[in-house]
Amino acid sequence: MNRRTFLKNASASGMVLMAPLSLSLSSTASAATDLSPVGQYFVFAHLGGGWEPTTFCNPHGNKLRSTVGVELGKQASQVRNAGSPVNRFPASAIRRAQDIYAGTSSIDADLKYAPYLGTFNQAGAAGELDDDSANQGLTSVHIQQILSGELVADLLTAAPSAGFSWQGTKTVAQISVNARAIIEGTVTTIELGAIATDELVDRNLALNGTQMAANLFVYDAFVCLHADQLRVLNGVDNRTNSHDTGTMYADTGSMSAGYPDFSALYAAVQGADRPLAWMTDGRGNDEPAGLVARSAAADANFFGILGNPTNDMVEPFANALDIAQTKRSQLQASQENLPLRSQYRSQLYLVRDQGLEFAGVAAQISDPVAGSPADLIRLAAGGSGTRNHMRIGAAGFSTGMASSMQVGFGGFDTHGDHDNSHYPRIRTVLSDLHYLFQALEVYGVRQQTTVVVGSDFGRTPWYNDGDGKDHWAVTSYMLLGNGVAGGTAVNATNGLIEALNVDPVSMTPVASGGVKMTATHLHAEMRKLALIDSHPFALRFPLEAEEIPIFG
Amino acid sequence: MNMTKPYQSILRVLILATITVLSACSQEFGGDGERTAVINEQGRSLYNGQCASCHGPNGEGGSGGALIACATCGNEASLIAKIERDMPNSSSPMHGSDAADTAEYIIAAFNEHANGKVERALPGVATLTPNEAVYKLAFELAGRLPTDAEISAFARDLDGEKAVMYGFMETDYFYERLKDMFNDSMLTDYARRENTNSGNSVENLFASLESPVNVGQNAKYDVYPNLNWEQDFVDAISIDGKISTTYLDYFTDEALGRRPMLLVEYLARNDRNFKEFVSAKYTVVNRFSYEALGAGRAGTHVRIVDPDLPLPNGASAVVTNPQWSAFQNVTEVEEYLDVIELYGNVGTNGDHYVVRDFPYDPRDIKAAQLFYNDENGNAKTEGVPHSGVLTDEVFLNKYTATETNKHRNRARMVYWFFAAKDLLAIEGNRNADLLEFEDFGNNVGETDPTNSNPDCLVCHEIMDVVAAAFENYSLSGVYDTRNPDNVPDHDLAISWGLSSAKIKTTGTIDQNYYSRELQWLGEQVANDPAYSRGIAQMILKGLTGQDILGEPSEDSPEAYVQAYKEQARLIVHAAAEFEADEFNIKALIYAISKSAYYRSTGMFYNDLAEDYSQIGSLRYLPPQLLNQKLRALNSGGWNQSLRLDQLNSRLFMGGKNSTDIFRDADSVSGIISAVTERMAVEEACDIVRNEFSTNRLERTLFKLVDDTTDLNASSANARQGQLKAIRATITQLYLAVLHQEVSLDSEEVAITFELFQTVLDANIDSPCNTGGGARAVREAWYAVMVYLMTDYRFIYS
Repeated sequence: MNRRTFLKNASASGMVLMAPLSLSLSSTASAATDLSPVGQYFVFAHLGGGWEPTTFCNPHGNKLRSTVGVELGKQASQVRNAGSPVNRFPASAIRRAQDIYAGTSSIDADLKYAPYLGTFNQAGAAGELDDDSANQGLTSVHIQQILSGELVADLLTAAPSAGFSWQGTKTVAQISVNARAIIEGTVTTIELGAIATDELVDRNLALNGTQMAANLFVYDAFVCLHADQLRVLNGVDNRTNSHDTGTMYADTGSMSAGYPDFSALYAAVQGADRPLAWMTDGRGNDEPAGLVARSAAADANFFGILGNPTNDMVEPFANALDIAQTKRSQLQASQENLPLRSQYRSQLYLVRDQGLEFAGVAAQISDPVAGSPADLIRLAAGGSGTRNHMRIGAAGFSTGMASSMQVGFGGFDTHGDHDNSHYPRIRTVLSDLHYLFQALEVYGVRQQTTVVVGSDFGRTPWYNDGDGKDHWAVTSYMLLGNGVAGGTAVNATNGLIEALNVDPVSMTPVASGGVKMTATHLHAEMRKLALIDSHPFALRFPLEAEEIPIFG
Repeated sequence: MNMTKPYQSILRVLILATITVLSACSQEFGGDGERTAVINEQGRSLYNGQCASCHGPNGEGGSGGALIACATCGNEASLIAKIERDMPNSSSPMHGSDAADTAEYIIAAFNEHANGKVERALPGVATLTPNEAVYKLAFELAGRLPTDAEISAFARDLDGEKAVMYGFMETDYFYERLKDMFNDSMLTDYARRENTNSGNSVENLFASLESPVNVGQNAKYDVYPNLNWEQDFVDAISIDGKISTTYLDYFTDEALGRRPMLLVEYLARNDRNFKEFVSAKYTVVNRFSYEALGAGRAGTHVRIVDPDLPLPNGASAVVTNPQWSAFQNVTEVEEYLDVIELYGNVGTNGDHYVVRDFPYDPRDIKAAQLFYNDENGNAKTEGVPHSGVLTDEVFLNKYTATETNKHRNRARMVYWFFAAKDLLAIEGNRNADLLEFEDFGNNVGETDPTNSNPDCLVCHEIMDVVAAAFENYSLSGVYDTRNPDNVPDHDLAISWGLSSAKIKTTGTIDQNYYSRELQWLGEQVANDPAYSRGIAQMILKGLTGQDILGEPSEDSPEAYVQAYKEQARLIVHAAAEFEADEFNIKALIYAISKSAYYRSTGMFYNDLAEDYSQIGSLRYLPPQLLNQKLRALNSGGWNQSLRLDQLNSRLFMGGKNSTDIFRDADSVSGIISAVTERMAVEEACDIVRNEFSTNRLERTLFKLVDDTTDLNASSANARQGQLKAIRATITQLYLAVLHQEVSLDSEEVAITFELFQTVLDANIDSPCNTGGGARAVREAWYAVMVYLMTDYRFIYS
């Protein structure tokens, strides 16, 4: 009997079931029934520090809060920081995803996004805010012209205005190539030509003659390529301004300490003994509640080890060693009964045996054959460890080594100089999400993977004295991929970014009744989507929330 | 046999009761300081009648939370005040003698053990043998194997054991380990080179410590004038390039970036009262940070002070002509640097260490008073009002403030680290629906509920009054009474919430604490009974890797409640010993590491599993400790497939960097398990090669055997002798590698011997180059070492 079989039998007989505290709320680690890929995968991305959705997926414009307050019928005294706008860009500069998306899928008209800093003017010529004519920066048509441009090496020349037609001047495929060049950084400069000289008024634009940096258009490229995958939830109440509590709530759906991150819970259900069962980079809440061990594996260079852990060094006496180790396992299982020891012992031996079955695929991760995986490595080299983490996770999904992934992004706590700090952070997230999709595609699991992007909370819908934005409980989540009604948005905030209740069927705001979306709703629905809501592990960490079509 | 749960519980209680009696008869405890808790019978009656339904019959908690080690349970006056305020409910709380009796009972029954000491035995629990304990503790505290003399003294009696443990706590390794323990909780090593792969983090941190020339204007100046001192120093002393600025850089970064931990080391090395960690009227420097913080400018910015001569104005008396100690010899230098190199690179100039050309000893830490630069580049006449770590810029930059949190984050961490109080665990309603949409006119954020809503006040009224004490510190942690960041003031008077002490009630500051409110706070915190528990929590986490458990709720599983009780009891008792020994940090470590909780290895009855689900000190070793374990076994540390002195490898193995990865992995995933197997086969090879290439008597592990082993020798005596030596070596290896004592005729030894003999007989030649001519014997020992190092107990210690 090999150790794995032995331990499973021992587990069944209760020999290793004296779980210590770390598992006292659950049970001992679950073993995968077999090690084939699980077929459904989740990636949870946590934007650490509290992101500001109005800077991307919940744009509102630069109308003064006092004006918004009047429009909402509020007393002046009810509006804090009345002299500040929500955003710096005018409402007229906000872009609709359906205008920029290149493809055949249907995109809702109310799925909108903010223009990137440097592509809009912050006020009209006389300093007026939210004048319809204030946006004398780039329009959606200009973005279409850029995406329909001529690409030569690292220069993309926008299509001229005369005779331009969206998806007519260039095909969808050609537009996609341009968009990819922008988001992947292979094009560095956009030549606007006559657009810059004839159609733009430069008050706050990042113009360099008639050129602009290509990375000012990553938002647009992302929407162009992926809007059909994206569902935005605007108006989720994270119920706290505390980083710790918000992080815990966003990642687990509960404010009670000790709940597992969703990604950990899912990984545990799918088999804690998979070598990379729960891929986490340690950022975010990072709480497995004792259900599964963390796997941090951003450095692919070490994967050669997993391919052959003993490096054939013990081959000449492998049989004798295996006999001794098996006897030891049996002896220890019969002699040791301290819960902490029992857990650690059984877990280690279980995952160690399991690792042997992944030798081949591990080698492929560390040193992939030529082709798409190699391209992924090249692209990852230009990014952070996050991309390696994503690549290894995607490979792990496809090989049965992993079932879920937690990814963290930092730098969103922009109490000062918000715009200059926050826009680039969101751009990095979108670039890396694009990379993630590529990785999932290469490893053949994109259609089976759901991606959720959340944060501690939102940020104030006003600027403080340092041009920063502070903590605000109301936030947004982005959902992408498998099981998500892409190209849609739930817009449940008013102009002061207060969370509005939504109808539990149509998910549109209602004046009375309805449901306020919270992270609990999201997680409850996520568990259903993952088909784990009635698993014993999930039931040990109950979530109570109304049933609403969060994923569409 | 099937039993229903009630019967199982009854059986468990009976077993426990029986064992308690037996163990009480068989255990002997030291007689020093014993005291018997007096139970107030009237208080017991009141408690059972009015409190137990919510707090549990044994104070373990329920709907009302636990009373073991609760925030107000360390001080009778605090507890009485709490009871008179809202217990059993706010509409009809107890008063007068009823409150006093109940408080006395709660403290005596749930918060004081009969002898006020940690328990060296727990009913039904087996603990480490003396031999196992001395091997484990030698590694944990000194990073090495114990000497024969230490093994002997440890087993002799309790005094011998104590002397050996305190001896371990005199080693350089211990002070590095101690700093690691504190960093496990405080994470102030975030800028350290080992955690960033960069020498820039500390420099950037200190370069960012600026003050505005005028509040509201952009022009700023550095508060420390001489951070880049190294080249000037090298040029000035003219020693022909024998000293490298790289080396000076390294230790300057260590001294500056780890200053909170340097204070820990200073207090521990000098056996000082650890209350000074939050209340010291000084900071600490060694010769490197002394230069960097400005002493090069005529000694005006840093002055060495006498920590035992505090002055009425919150400073300490200046020491004239401070003498810096020097390394005594090269061996001492090499041994110290060997400890430091455990974690990462030490500055070198290509010729390895050049420290012998530098006359100062980084371990020589002194108390100091800092004087910031003014805008003209001169030292200010008024110094920074130090209060231990509370006023340390490295600490304050870890726990940052913002305009909106108004130092509350700092206040929250003060409660957690130094008073064992988790403010997030205070029951209050964080539901924005109820807080704002109903109570406050359906308008998010329009009214600040933290000053008015009872659900918020329950926490904010004790948090904000502490946060207010930080108001003379800028958001970046610089002492600046001008409030340069325009952070709004808190409305409430500064006070220490646990004891309700206040220094500002009418707008004036009492007792000359004006502008040095954190010094007042530091004194309150240090003198609060909860302080010792806060420190005990950190040491427990550092020693065992265990998270500190939050109070159970009424829905918590029984195993959790039991685990909480056991852990809380250990913390309370260890804190009591710490307090009784003048807050000597070594006494606290001694208290925890002698406890049955720490030393438990098994249970006499499986039925006790639910009672002891958390006890024990087993944990997956963080990578730097794993590396030290290898070094202790003469492998030299792992530097082949992975290099554990490098950050990437440590992260891959589940380590943290204190910057954005805050916790070491607590268990082993598949990828880590594979890596530990690789480590085992590579390092077992190194160990055998290193050992057998050393003179037998000078070896670490294989002193009884050699290459000449021949189990087929013609002489029966020779065979017997060799068999004995092999078996004895195996038992020694079990102790050294796994910290387990096994007998010569045990099954463990039999299995291991069988492996040894099989491999020896096979006369193999593995890819491991064990060296020497007669490889067969070494290969057999190599197989044994691989076998032992793939045991779960090798990586879990």
